[in-house]
Amino acid sequence: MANLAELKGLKVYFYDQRDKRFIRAVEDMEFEVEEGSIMGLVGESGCGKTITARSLMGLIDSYPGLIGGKFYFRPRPEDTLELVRNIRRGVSREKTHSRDVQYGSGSQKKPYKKDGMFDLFYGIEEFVTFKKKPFTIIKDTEKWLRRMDRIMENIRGKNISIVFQNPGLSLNPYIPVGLQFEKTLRRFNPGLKREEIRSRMLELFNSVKLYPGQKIIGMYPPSLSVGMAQRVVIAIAISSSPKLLIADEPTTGLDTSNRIRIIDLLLSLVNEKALTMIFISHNIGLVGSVADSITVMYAGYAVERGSNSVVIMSKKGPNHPYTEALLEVMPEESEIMAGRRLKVIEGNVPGNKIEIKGCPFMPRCRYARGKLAKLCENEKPELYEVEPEHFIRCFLFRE
Amino acid sequence: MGVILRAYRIKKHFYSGDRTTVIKACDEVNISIPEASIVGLVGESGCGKTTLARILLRLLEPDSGIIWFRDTNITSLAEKQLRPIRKYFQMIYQDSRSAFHPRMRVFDALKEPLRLYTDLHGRDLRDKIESLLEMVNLNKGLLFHFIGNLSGGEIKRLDIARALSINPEIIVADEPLSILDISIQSRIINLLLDAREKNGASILFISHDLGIVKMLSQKIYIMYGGRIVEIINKMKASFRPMHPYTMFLWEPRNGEFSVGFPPGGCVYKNNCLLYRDRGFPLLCAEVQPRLKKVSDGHWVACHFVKP
Amino acid sequence: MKRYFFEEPLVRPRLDEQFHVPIYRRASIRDVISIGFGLFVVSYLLTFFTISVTNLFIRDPMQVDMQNIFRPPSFEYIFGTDYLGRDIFSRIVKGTEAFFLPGLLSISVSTSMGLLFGIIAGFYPRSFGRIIFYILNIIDSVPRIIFIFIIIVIFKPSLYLIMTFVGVTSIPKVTSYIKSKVETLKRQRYIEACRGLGLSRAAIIFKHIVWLSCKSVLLIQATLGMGEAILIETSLSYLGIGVQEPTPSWGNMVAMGKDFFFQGKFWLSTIPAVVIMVTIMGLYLLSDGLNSVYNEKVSR
Repeated sequence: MANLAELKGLKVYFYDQRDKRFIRAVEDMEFEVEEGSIMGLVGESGCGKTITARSLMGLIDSYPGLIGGKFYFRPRPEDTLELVRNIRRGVSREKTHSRDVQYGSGSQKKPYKKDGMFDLFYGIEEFVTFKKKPFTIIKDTEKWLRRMDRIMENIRGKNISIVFQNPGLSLNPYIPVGLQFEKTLRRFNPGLKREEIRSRMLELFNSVKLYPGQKIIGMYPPSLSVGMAQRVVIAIAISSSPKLLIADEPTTGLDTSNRIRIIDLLLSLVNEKALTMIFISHNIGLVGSVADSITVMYAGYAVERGSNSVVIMSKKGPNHPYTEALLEVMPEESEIMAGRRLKVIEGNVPGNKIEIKGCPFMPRCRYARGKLAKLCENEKPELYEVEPEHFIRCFLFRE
Repeated sequence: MGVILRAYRIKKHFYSGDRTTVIKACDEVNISIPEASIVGLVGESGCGKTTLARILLRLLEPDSGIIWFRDTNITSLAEKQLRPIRKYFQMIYQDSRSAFHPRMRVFDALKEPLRLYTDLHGRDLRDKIESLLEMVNLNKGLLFHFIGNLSGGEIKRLDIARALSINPEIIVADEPLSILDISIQSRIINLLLDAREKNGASILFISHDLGIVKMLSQKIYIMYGGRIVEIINKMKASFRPMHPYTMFLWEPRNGEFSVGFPPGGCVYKNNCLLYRDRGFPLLCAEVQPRLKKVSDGHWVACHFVKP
Repeated sequence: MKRYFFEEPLVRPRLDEQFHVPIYRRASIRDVISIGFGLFVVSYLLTFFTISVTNLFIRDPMQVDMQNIFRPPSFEYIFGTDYLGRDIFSRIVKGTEAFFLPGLLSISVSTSMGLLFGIIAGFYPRSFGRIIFYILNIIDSVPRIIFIFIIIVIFKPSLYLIMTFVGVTSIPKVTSYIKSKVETLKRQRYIEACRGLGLSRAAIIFKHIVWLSCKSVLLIQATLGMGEAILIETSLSYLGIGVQEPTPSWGNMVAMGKDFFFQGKFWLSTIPAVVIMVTIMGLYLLSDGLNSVYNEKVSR
């Protein structure tokens, strides 16, 4: 199947005014999602997965924000024209004449289209770049953010939807569910009559198995149980029939039964409505049981990606040392009964305010010894294609 | 092996404002926790397990029932007499964030119990606190940060550090792993296992995850709707879930499930497949099943499970 | 980040929920100025009081010097001299004695009793709380000035007595603040956690409730109370009921000096009046700044 979205080289930095330092939220993130599949994004809290998700929707609003990357996305056919118009707007034409070879003259602009997908981050280099000295931004990013807003207006909610972790935070506790839902429905389907909106709401509640729909419309979010609230959020997210649904830790903190049901619901939505999903979690076991392809993230880097079978399922196959460690710390009963302790990943995730030389995982990596250690300490590995469609960011696999 | 904490017929009912609805958060609950062992308490959130935990530590008063700590009946003790004993039982809270004053600093929060129960001062105190942070893998740089600024996982680890700091004899851990990453969960599990092995502490491990509880505990209580529905002592009996709820937890399937406190009859009947398959027998609808011994170390509260 | 004047930025910065930044980082420029100015006022009050009490005057405020009457402000006499040749600056310094201790008395009464009653009322809202608020309502409805005059008539015009009374009349406000704080706090889970740790009730009350949470309220009320005390004392002295000549008080200096105002010798009354205004304003700004800093829920 063709790819629905491709992300390359995502870089998100924030600037702390008080400490006058840069915070590296995401350094180098990439992935590919096939249409109709589920991609799992695995990583510890703080590794940048939520920031990645939000930047896909253009929700980064702290200065300076998004500063690098290409995000190719295939929107719905009816939105294509609007999207192209917004992409091309705002990328200045005057500058192209005095520019160096990168841009050239008008007809040789950099491509924003690839395999029928459009680069939503097109033009970012023009707005925000680093100087030769690291950590210095030339232009301020506000103009870029404004432009981003324009592009994303069509995408957000309509083509890409997001479901967050805690439904209590996503729903306004002072407004009844029906009213919040109505707002979203009206935004994407202007000119609908009251009865139509109501029936659409009930239809969506049905598809997320929320009964009785009639009653839920009038309830306030705090009276709903967590499981029900999460379903409401999912219903609102799919109300516009998006192409991509991002689920950011949708089941963390829920009970077993709720978790099962939410996951079943998400899986059924993928199957029935041809939805594509990005499933974000820190629980590699959970992700492994639902996703078709996996991307593993650590300290702002994508350290491994590939299909589920090669990353998780195959025990003997090649893996990034971090993925390996993650898979090992899952508790096994036999170990505990025998009085042995569980394996832990030694060390801590590196702070995001300091600059990291070399591989970010090196201090905790069990393979960084001897001669290899020197290399890992001083140079940053790239994502090497170890097998077809299986990439690992580690010097162990560099030919 | 002695019993370190025992609760007999604990009852706690909550009434709605107009006294029309009753929530039987704890209904005739008996629990006994042996020394130096891990006892699991499993149930969905809202089944009353946190209420039970608070009652056991006498943070909440039961309507009736008796609690023994070793041989002392602590149910009727006045606060003043209870206070010195409190150092033997500590709790790790489900919502760790609410268990700390947000304006307090990490150092002060850990200093509190240490100052109360040990006489560490100055440099020794500082070293002990730093070692506690290391134990739960918290960055030393957080030492003087406000607790309100920490993330959920960090606060949970702080809660665990605070509870373990004075080496209590029994630790009530209410969902200790809930918001932690997988990579840290193993570390915390090791900590709890160490507390048991090295200090002889007992742990009441409360969770909704039967899998983890089964791996760690010697004895497992399954709770639903304020009642204990199954007890499995892994030391004496093999782990074979028999109550329909336990079977559901062990192998969850999809389907309708509601958490609640239905009045009258078996607490589980609204979700019970047995109830449904047997055509809604009157027995389940009217009579609350009692815990019956199925085999040595295995008790089940269900009309259809015969010893 | 650039600030927009009248238009909302297209990209709205997210308000972080309750980021507990330490005080010095949380203050806006306005607050810094308010608090800075207030602290400046407090520091000169303290200095003057210390000088006055230890009698370290450069020039004796009571020293009559008929050679040097009505000298305008100059390098030699910073604030000039009055109609008896006394140095006005030294008299201003000595004037702080008039309200300092009585003011402290007033705020001690109001904060300590307010704290006590507030805690009791907070912990026992239905029993003691009701009684306390009944009594406090009565106190609250008392018209202060009238009672001050009544006290002066019945008893001697002792400033300490008056200030005690003022303090008592401020108790209801403090009590209600403290009571509402206590009522919210006692339900918090961390108070239960403190019980679980085994902290004694006194420790919980003083450490967690008072020190960590009520500190701000008390400080602000104390600052306001002091400002109020100064206002009352100077007003009474101006009317001639408070501190009597020849002891200087800012109020009676204004009163004495007003006769000479239209003769062109404005500094006799203007200077004390300005000092009164600046001091009270400083204290009010201090309390305002503290209020805004402590109760601000939003930070950058």
